[in-house]
Amino acid sequence: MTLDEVAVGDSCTVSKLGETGEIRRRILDMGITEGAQVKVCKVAPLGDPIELTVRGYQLSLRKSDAASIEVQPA
Amino acid sequence: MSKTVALVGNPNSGKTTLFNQLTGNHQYVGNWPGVTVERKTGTLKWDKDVEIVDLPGIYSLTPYSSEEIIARDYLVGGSADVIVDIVDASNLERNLYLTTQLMEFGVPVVVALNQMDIVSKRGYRIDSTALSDKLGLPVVEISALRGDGVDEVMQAAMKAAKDGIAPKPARFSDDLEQLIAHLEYDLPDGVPAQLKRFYAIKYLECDSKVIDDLGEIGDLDSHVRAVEARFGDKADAVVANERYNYLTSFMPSVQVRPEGNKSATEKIDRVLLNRVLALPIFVAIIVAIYYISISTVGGVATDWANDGVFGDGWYLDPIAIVNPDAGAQAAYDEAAEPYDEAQKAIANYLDAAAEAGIDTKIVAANFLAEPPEDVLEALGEGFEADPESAEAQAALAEFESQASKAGVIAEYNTVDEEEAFESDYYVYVGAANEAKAQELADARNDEIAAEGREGAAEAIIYQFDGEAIDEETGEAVPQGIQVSAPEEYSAYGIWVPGIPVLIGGALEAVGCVDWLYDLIMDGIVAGVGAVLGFVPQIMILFFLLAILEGCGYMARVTFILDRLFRRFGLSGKTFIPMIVGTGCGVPGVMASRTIESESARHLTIMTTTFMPCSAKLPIIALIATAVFGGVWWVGPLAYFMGIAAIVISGIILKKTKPFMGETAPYIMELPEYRLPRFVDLLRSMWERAWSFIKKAGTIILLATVIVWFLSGYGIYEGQFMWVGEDLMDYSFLAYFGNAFAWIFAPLGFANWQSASTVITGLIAKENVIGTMAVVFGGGELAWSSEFMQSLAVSSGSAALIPVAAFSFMTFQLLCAPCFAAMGAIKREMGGFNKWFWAAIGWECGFAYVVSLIIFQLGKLATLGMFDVWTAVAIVLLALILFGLFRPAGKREALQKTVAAEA
Repeated sequence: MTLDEVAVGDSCTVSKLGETGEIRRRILDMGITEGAQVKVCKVAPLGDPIELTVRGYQLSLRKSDAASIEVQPA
Repeated sequence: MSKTVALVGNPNSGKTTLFNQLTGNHQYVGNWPGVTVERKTGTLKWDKDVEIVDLPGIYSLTPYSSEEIIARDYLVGGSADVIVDIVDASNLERNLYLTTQLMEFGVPVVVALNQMDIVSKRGYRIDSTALSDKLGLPVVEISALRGDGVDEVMQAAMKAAKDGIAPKPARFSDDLEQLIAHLEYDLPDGVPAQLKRFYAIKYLECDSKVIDDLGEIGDLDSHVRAVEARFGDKADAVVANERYNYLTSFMPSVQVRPEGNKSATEKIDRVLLNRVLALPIFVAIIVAIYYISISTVGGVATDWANDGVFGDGWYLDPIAIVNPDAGAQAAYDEAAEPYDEAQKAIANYLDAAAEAGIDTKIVAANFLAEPPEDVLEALGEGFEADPESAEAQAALAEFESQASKAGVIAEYNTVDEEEAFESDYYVYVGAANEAKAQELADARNDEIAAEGREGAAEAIIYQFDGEAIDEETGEAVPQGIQVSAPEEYSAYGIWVPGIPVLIGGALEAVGCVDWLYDLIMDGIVAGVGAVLGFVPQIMILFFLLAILEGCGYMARVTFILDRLFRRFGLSGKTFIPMIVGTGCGVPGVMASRTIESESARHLTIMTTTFMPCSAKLPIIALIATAVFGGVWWVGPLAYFMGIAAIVISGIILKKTKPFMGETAPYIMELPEYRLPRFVDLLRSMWERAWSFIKKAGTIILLATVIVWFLSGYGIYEGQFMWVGEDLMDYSFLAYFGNAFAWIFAPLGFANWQSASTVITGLIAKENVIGTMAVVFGGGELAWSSEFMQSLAVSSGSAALIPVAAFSFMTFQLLCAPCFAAMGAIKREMGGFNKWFWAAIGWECGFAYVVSLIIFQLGKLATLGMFDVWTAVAIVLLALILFGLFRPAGKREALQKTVAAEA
């Protein structure tokens, strides 16, 4: 499954990063790398973006970008 | 020997706070990633040989957005002797990711572990000694905010710079290390030994900028392919993974984090970012901020500044702050009100009598506190008022008998122009004999009842020596001069004279020549004073905005609004330049640098100055208080109108060819909430207010003097002369303003005064108010009502004053910004190119169209008048709606333009 499909409140482990263009590099820098634990915390009022907890901090990301991140439910 | 220390760290890790501690500077700090977008340099407070460079915050050394390139280029340039890496201890893992990259530069690195207080507050532990061991770097615990550990970190940095020992880079997995070693071996000979690893890794990370520095490098791609084959992933992902793996390998021995307990930030976000409540809360917060700063607290403070400090004067009276109905000012008002009312009623009655053909000059000159100018001129300079004189009494007797015979009727409405739009209606109907007055009042009361309005009409008899008592109520009514004048201001409390009074007094005392007196009083004091009068509102607004910025809420707003901004290719991050733009458009435009995609950046630069900056605040405040009687919604509306202008422009422009293209990415850290320090709030408020005051004392002052000259001198009947207030319509400024006032006819403010404020507003937006004060003249209350009068004329009806005033405000807020901001637009667009002119053209055009729609549709709604301009407004509105809702149809549109070009 991909990160955008994870329900709010659930955690998962990143297994692979897909092709996401320019932003892929930034996603890596922000700590979403293979094996990282990610928890989906919130969805913005207009349905997008989503807020994650990763490596102990809060990160927000669009669903379209989250869709390129493959995860495994924890 | 001089040393250069580079401050590097993640965005929002506290670099600028540390920089301010080290250098004694007061650079702006905020709680969102990306406050600093430029490199800033200072010298160490206690050692002038040490240069401190504050770099923009970066997450990684691979250039991604332009402020990261600034930081990266500086480090690659090699001018730093030592890097102080500020690490946010509450976010250790991700912050150390950058550290692993800094370790590869061959420059000594000292880690400053910031925000340890937050860590201990949240109940977990970080072992900085163990961290130092693992990284092989000196680690110093600091609190940049309180200044703890600042000395120690500088000592460590100086020692490291002196020793000049390069850090040992982070060690990756054996597989990767082996492949890196092969790559290093194949690097060209020119690469210094200590930088081989750096270049090898950058090569794997595909950092084209660093590769370019190397020059001819031969074919190294086989190494990249080897890494990708070995790890089954892209090389840059492999390196990023390895960096994080390196950190996670020792994280447990350095940091102990208890799981499960919710942080305060999570609890706050549960409410503020709640799916249903987030947007209403955002709107409510902005409404509250503008309501407080413009209408309530700020309004009171500005009244004090305008009417007191820059008016007649004010009472030093603490009671009035708690209870405005008590105290010295209230006592004075109580004494002055009946007198003022009486004076106005008499003047009104005399006017009515004069219209009936009765000579009122002598009576007016003797019995009015401020007789009209033309009456005094007619009587000549030698005249002195003396109501007791035989001449005055005889003239009064003659006047009364004539007025009674002629049946002169005057109505005097106690509701003054300021409150003209409120519903209360209270009118004195007067005549010279009682029966007539009563008859008129009864008729008027019937009318009021029939209209269903609040209020009453009361009969008064105009008798200058009669009893001033209303027979029914037993109360004094404004009737004649027997209502005695209030005593001197100082009789009611501690009176502080206003600045104009003091300056005027001083000028009179030294016997200043008339023209210079006029220049100083009617030009400088009136113009600059009108601008400075808004300082209290600005201070309160920026204090409140500083709280929002300092606590971390603004980053959340980007999260809330991203979906909206994405519709037109921008990201929630666009909101950051907008926040900065509410202070001043210049840094607002510069803050657009954090936006990665070029078309999104251009769009942001073009639209950021739609936000109401501090210089525009006086315009909003003036319209809100003088025209709309201080209603709560004008201020917030101006703010949301700015956001709406950006959104509408964005959606329309995004569908045009130059702005098509990829949507700006959005990935943003949401920082922990923190309580901003009170001193920081005060400093932020004061800095913005001070720059406003400085501007008032320099550029505004100069502009006001020029405006005064241009409006004071002119050509009348073929002669160059002093035209003054009476003939100001013949002044140079009037000619100048009239030359293009017609442009604003469809907007409802086609008079030369308003037109000239549009031009002076381009120099600085504060000039709009400053110029109005000079060209309309006569002190705060007088010039704002003169302004409204001029709008009544130019819009064609007194009923249209609010509509025309709103159209005027809209145009001033949305049209091209001041020259300083245009300069910033020029710089960010890269010169006076098509982008620059497109930005200025769009801003002016958009402002014109929106104001036209507001005025014409307002006219239609108010008067039901439909003319050719109403039709134009409807067509323009339809065009905007079409631009908003037409399908993007990228390919079709592109093909069309291509076909048109071919």
